[in-house]
Amino acid sequence: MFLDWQPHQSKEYDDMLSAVRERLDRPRPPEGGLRELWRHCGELGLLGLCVPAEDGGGGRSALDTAHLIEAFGRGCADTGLVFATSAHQFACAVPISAYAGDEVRRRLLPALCDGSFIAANAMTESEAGSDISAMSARAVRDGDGYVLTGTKSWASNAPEADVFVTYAVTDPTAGFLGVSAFVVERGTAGLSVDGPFEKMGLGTCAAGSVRFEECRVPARNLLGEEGEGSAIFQHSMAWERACLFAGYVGLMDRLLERCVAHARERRQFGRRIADFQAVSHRIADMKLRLEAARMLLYRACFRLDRDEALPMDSALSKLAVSEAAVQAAVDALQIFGSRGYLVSEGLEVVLRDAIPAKLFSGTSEIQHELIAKGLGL
Amino acid sequence: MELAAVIEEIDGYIRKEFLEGDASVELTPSSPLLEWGILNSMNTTRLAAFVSERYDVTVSPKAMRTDNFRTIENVAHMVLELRDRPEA
Ligand SMILES: Cc1cc2nc3c(=O)[nH]c(=O)nc-3n(C[C@H](O)[C@H](O)[C@H](O)COP(=O)(O)OP(=O)(O)OC[C@H]3O[C@@H](n4cnc5c(N)ncnc54)[C@H](O)[C@@H]3O)c2cc1C
Repeated sequence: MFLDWQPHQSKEYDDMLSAVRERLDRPRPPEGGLRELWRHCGELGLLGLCVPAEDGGGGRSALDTAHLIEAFGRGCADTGLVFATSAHQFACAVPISAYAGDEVRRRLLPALCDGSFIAANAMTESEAGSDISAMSARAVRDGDGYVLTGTKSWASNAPEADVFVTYAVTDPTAGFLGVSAFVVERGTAGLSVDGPFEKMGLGTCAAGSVRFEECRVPARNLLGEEGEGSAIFQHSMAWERACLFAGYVGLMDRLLERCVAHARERRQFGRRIADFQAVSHRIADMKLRLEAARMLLYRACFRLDRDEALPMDSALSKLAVSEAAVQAAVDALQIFGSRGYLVSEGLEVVLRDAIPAKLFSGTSEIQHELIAKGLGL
Repeated sequence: MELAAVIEEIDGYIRKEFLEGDASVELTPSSPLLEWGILNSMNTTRLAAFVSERYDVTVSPKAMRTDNFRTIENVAHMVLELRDRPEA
């Protein structure tokens, strides 16, 4: 096992970090400017890092993908943008590239990778959050298509999206394994979107609900086979829990740099606050949590690339990164004192952007459950 | 290991872990585990972890299909197939 990056991988990371700092590092998009930012992300290759090259993507491994998302999260203060584009890539482009038929792949993936299209993943329902087996959306085969009915209560990017990846029950006798996955395109009769919701953070990522009323999609929009929806969702979640959360690793790198610089510079009682062990050890703990989480994330990606990933691998990684990110934001606010509490300092928004990481892609409690069940408990 | 023995072990695991010894459930090798809600997403993950360890097989996300988990018989067939052809 070789636990460091090769020189060419480090260079790619550095180049991406510089490009992101130059082109994307602003706290919010300009009014109406999301599409433009999305295209910038497309030009930098950030929307399809792991999508096969023949479909318009970068053809990278999960590990290389995570490394570049890490650079994105470190260089871009707009965590909502990092999250929105990652949800687009890992919960939508990834299952489309792995499970769609040729026609759908060819039509959608290049546009998803270059930033012409925005995608949303619509799984959660009002009564089926952590427990996806309680899903009520239905899809019924009808001639050469399926008719979808149901409401998805939360889908990131939905108000802006051109393409939706969604899940519905096709075999009610098969519990959560009777679910199938579909691609639905904006403009399809019977599809409507509400929102954007007013949220506490991740401002750039518009979220809304998605309704399917007798919404007819062609059979070619089925991903994989009928009944494969649950496996497809688990596959997406394995990618999302590993690679999307690399953005939060990058965010923690940025916070750590700021805290180190501030602790060296700020003086109280005639000394640098870094000279107080309470402060320096808090920063040492931030570093410890960051590096431990980073290693778990790299290992989850490594196993994903070797087709050896177990649910426990991405659960360990997701749990470690999200909990460390929230703690890092709380630590940074403490280290910056009252000025950290000012909106202008840009730290309170980090906390608001970090908290939902403990909720989406499966809550922290669900990750604990996955780890426990993986241990046979 | 023979099919009948695998079925018996999986039956025992499900009774102990998911039914908590509730003898009133008439579980047979062909009972519809998914339809009855005995296998929800969490329990399926647990069952997959159990058979992986017990029979030294890898249940990949691709193997998480209805035809592999609908009944105890289906799970046992999947185990034997994965043992003989790990890529199945
Ligand atoms: C910012 C953000 C973005 C999101 N984006 C998307 C998206 O793009 N697409 C999408 O489909 N969904 C999305 N979601 C929804 C998200 O997936 C759900 O919020 C999540 O699955 C939890 O479901 P819930 O909110 O209904 O909470 P619930 O399932 O109602 O859980 C409430 C509480 O109970 C706990 N709990 C539930 N079951 C158990 C258990 N078995 N053991 C222990 N504790 C338990 C939970 O951990 C939580 O603390 C997003 C959510 C957020 C906040």
